[in-house]
Amino acid sequence: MTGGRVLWAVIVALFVGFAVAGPVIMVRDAARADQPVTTAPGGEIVVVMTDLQFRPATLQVPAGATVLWSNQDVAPHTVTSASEDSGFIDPGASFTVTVDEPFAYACTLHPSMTGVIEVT
Amino acid sequence: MDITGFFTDLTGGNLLLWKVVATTVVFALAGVQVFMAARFWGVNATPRISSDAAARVHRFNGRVALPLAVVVALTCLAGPAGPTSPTRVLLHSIFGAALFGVLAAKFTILRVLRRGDRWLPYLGSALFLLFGGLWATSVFQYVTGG
Repeated sequence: MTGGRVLWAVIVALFVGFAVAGPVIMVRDAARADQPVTTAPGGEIVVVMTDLQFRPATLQVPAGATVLWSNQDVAPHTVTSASEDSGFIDPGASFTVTVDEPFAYACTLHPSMTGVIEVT
Repeated sequence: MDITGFFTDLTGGNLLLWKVVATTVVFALAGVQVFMAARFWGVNATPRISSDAAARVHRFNGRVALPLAVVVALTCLAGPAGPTSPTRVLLHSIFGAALFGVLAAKFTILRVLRRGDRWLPYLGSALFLLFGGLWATSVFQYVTGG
């Protein structure tokens, strides 16, 4: 096999890798969907914004708990409801709310991103 | 290695906007590719350039479009890839995986096996349609704010 063919074989292997990586990541993320709720060092209950989703999308917290939304995505997001509006939360930034009442919220930039805070 | 962080820093925090621009450029170049390929495969007489010139433009375009597509795909795979809902995101992932499968098939035939295979026009057309599907399931939403 000539050098040119070897180079193209490597490039083809890269393309195959990309073709396989997408479905593999989708399966991996589906397996992670039921991850347990985590807390931040300050005791806040964490909702992660990643992959254009709030995780967990539905969160049950006791009244008076503090919830922290951590943007670990590549795009800015918002946490917007009738009672709360975070403004733009840039990648790497976060937003906290002390929850007294349940509310449903969404990202105004990506309306398919929705979440619910339920108070137990 | 934080690929997403690297590209976010490189684009001054505007990674999504750069991806939108790059994806649009790649889709436009894919359209040019189809026209040029149709010219040197003798399917049509436009644009009015020689088959040799059309082949040169086709190769040059490809060398610009492919690295751009690879970088955009890399930032997708390292960043937001994974969700299977909403349907738009699922379709985007399917189109992206299919696109690189077709690219692998095309360049295996063209560059590794070095055959002027009769399937190449179909693979090239599929590439254009898949680029269009990727554009429609990403940039269109970004532009329309949907």
